[in-house]
Amino acid sequence: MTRILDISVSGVLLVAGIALFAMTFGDAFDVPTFGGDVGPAFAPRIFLAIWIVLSGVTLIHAIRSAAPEESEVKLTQMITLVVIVCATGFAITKIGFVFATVPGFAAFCWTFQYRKPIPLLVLSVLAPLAIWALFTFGFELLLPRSPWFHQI
Amino acid sequence: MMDQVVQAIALFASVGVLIALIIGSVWGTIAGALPGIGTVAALIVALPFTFGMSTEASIALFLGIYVTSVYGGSISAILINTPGTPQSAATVLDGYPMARAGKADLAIGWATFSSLVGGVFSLVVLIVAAPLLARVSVAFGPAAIFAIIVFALTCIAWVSAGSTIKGLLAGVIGLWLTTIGTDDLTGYTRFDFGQPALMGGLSLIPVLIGIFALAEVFHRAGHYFAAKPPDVSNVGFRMPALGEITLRIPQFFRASVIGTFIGILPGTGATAATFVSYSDLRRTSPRRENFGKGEPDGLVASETANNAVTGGALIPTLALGIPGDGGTVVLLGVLTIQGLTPGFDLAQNNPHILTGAFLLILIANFIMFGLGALGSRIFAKILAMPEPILMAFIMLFSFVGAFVVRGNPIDVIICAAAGVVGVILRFAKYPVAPIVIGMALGTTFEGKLRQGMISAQGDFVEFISDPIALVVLGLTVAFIAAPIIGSRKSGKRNG
Repeated sequence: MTRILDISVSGVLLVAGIALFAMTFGDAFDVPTFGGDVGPAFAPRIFLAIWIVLSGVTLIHAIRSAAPEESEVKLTQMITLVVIVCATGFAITKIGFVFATVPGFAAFCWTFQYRKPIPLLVLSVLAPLAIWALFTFGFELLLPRSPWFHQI
Repeated sequence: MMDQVVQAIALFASVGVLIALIIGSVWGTIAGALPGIGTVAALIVALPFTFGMSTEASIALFLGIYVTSVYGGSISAILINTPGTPQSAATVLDGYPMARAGKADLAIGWATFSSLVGGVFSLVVLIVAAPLLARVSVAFGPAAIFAIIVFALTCIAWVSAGSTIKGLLAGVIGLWLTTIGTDDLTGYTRFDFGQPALMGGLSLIPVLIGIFALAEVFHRAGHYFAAKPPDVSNVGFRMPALGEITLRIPQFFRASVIGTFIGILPGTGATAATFVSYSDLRRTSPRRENFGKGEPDGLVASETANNAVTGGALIPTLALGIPGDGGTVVLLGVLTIQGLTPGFDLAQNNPHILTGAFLLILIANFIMFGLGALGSRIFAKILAMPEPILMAFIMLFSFVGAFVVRGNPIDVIICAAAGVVGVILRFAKYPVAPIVIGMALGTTFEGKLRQGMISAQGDFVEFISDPIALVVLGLTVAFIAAPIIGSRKSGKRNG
């Protein structure tokens, strides 16, 4: 799996580098410069040219390398957790910090094999609320709020 | 100098600052002791709290964490044969055998004392070198700063885990990420992909949090196999005998020097220092035949060196604004958020802040010693904390930290996305530290390059003809070429 991932990532980086490099020749970058021809495209083109060369080299190296030894990975658990964290992050921007993280915290811990329902339920409610209260009333820094209530 | 010390004491001598330093030191030790957290995650968790604190208290909190988290890793290394941080990986080699022989308390005593020695030694070097280097840096023109950043990124890529090419690529990706958004020089927008949210560019902190903290959470999820908490009932602290300590003065000195000077090089960090020091002392110590069997020299080697890195790594960070690893990137970020610019500006306009930081590091080292001596039993019990709960808190604080930097919800999304990218890159054996360091340096790098090229009317040879730049670029080439030439020569000898 690691070898396939290595090849895939190197390939994606190569394609991304080429696409971004091509963008620097578009209209958005065709602007007057101050002399020395160092307009907005100057540095990005240098970075992206190096990017393309290096990702080409890593792709060739990845294709030619033997598959390395792999450690055991709980892929399902990890992917599920990634989905939960991303969903929680997205939900924070839509329904506020508290309402997103209460179920997010619980789902996270349950997926991460913490299977004590009562302590989990208590922590899932208290932890986000405590953090919200600390920042809202302690530091007077508002965290993302829900569309239904003024402060929470 | 005395004026600065007096001013620094006046500024930093408050209950709030002391409490922040103690809290930072306690949290740093705990975070270091817990496998999977580490220095960067510990700093990131504390980041949101700094927005409600004074500049001095924020600096105290962060320096407390930075200094003690490296030491905290030794506790789990000794007690459960698992280093709490990568920086303590070599500590298991002699710490755990010592614990198995019923001398866990003595092992913790050696680790604690060695950490104090390394930390104080590197602080002395920091006090001498940082202001000097900051004053010298005023002579650095755009070409010299450009060359120094090239050298720093090359170092970082060269010593990163995984291949050098991947490290260089990661660094270049980090540099490119800073070009997203509005161009400082012309005001034109680059790479916004039609998204208004990207016109302001990417903020470093959310990307840093995602790529380090969240990616680590995801990585742990893939490798977590629920197990019984470790048995840490028989733990204490025993100070080594004075005679045993004085016998090892040469070893303390060697490890301190190695740690400090490896720390100065960008990208090397405490993990490299601890192994270089361990190898060196295993080769040179009069007690070398006992290494790996619970020899105190092994603990002296690893723990002195890894804490000596803290002062060394702060030299380029505070004097030049060039961070060497994830921890110093976060520190740099905190200073910037507080309106302080590391480098000549800090040394010239806020020397008392710099002096205050030195005093805080000194006090943090002694707090660390006190925590080890008095709190090792408590820290040992913390090792039994359920990892899922800990990781969930890291998730919460990661999102809070990402949001409060700019108050922009898009940063929460960016943080999550950076976490996904970070874990994928990690599995594909790409080092991620060069990405954030590239991001931290990218704006300055591009600015100096374009500024110099405009002055040189587009002539790159004229731009790079600055003597300091030529020397630094020469060092960069030598740094890359030396191991290649060395391995070719040894290949010819063997072939």
